[in-house]
Amino acid sequence: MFLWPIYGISKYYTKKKVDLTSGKTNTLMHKCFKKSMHVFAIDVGCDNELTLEFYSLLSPKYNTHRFGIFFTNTPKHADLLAILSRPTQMMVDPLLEAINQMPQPFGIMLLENSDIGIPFETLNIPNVVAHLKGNIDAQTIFSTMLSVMGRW
Amino acid sequence: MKRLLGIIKKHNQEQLLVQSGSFVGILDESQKNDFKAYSILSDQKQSKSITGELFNFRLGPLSGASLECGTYNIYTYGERMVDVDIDISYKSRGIENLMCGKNTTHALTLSENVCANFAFSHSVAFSRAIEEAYKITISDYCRFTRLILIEVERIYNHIFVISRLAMAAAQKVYASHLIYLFDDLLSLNKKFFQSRFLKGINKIGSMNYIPISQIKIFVEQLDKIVNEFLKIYEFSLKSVNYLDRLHNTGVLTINDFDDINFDGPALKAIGYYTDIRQFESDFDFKPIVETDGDSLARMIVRAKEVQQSLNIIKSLLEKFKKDSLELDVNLYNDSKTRIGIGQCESPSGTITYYVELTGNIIDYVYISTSSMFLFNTIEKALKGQIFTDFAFTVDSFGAFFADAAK
Repeated sequence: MFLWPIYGISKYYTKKKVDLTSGKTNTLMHKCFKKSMHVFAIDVGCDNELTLEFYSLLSPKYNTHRFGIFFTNTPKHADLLAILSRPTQMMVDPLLEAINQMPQPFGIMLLENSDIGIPFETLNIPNVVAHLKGNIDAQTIFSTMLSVMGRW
Repeated sequence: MKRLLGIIKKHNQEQLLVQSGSFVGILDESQKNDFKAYSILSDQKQSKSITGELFNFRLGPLSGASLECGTYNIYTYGERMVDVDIDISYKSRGIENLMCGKNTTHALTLSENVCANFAFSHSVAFSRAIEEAYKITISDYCRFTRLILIEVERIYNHIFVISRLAMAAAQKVYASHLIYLFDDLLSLNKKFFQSRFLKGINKIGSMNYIPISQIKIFVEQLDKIVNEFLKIYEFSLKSVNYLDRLHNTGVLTINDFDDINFDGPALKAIGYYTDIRQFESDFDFKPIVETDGDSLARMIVRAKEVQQSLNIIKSLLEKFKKDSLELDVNLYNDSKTRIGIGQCESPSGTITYYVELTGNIIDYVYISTSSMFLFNTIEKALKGQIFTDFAFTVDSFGAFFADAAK
């Protein structure tokens, strides 16, 4: 019981004040998720290349947990939403609903490896912190996530 | 064994794309009653009725449990899956329609975009269809390199499927090791062929030039990875707890084949096969079969096929002595109408392309993929299982929504 006030005072002086209502999303992501970031990857109609590249990130070779990157099973627990490829027509509504469920603050990473599907530009997706195109491998995804965290 | 591969619908008329032994061709609609799978392929599935305490537990299209955006409508009263209906439409990109009106080179790129983990098989099946339409004879170099890379694709896909099963069974160390090997194989592809999923290597009538010396070094490194896989796979067979979860899960019988016409390791696991590699003259092929028809049998078939694929690659390398620079084949852009059918044995079953062209422009294309049949098989295999068996059943088939929805 005696230690709790000391803990509270030290917490007060060491806590970084982050304004969640202003500033660019990238800066906000650096401030909030420098030490750890939870990622939810959603497939909205890709040819599985990006899905399997994300799956490869579970390999011990990348050791994502060491860098504070964790994969979640729902957008409600995620800080970063990775959208794998341009969406099919039927996946537009589920995608927008997933974005709607993200807790503030959040960032969105767009990945596209072909020109099949509805272009991202037409969907007005908010808080885009990274947009990868072309040949995207696990290493590129990993380094981009680190740069979103402000660690690369 | 005869199979209905698909239904070709044009001008309000239907034709049947069928296979029987080494024959692949078109039959008249009047013979549809010979194939029970006709009702499945013509989307005449009966809608499921919910009665009593049953409710629809809907999984997907966005779910952490599934890698892809498909939907499983699971009709249950709480524990047992009484009926299952899988909706693949969320993933449909209309690739067949996108191919129409495009030239063959553009359509070849689109065929690689159907399903990345079967990208090379799709590419080879499509180019074989065009080569048949144009009566192009490919060089020995092109034939051998294609056969080698088809087996490479099989190896990394099988390791991926087994890693999914290990993950479902919470065998974390084993699963991590398998994902490491899977990523290693993709990196090896990138190093030697400039593409992790073997895209952009195959062309119509030819291949990108890869020196034989480079292929030999590739195979030496592949050998090490496969041996490491076999070592840890043998070790995994000592875990009775793991095997018990796969044994007697998602059991299929030959009657299910009659109803659905699936193929690949799922069919081999019940003791039968329609593998088109048996008609190849460039290597000796003896299909690997098991008899139990459950998830364990499907996993064993895949693991043994990894070893078999490596042996096939080595035997092809012994025969394949000379490499040659391949020249691009020019396809006549005349107004002649041509038709071609091409096939390739993908890791999960046969892929067939039926193509109609005018000049070198695609008029019509129909793609028959193994996953189209396997999702119907999964519906059948899940019936009566409890929820904890869901992942063991689904992942053991190696079916992909991207491959089925196209």
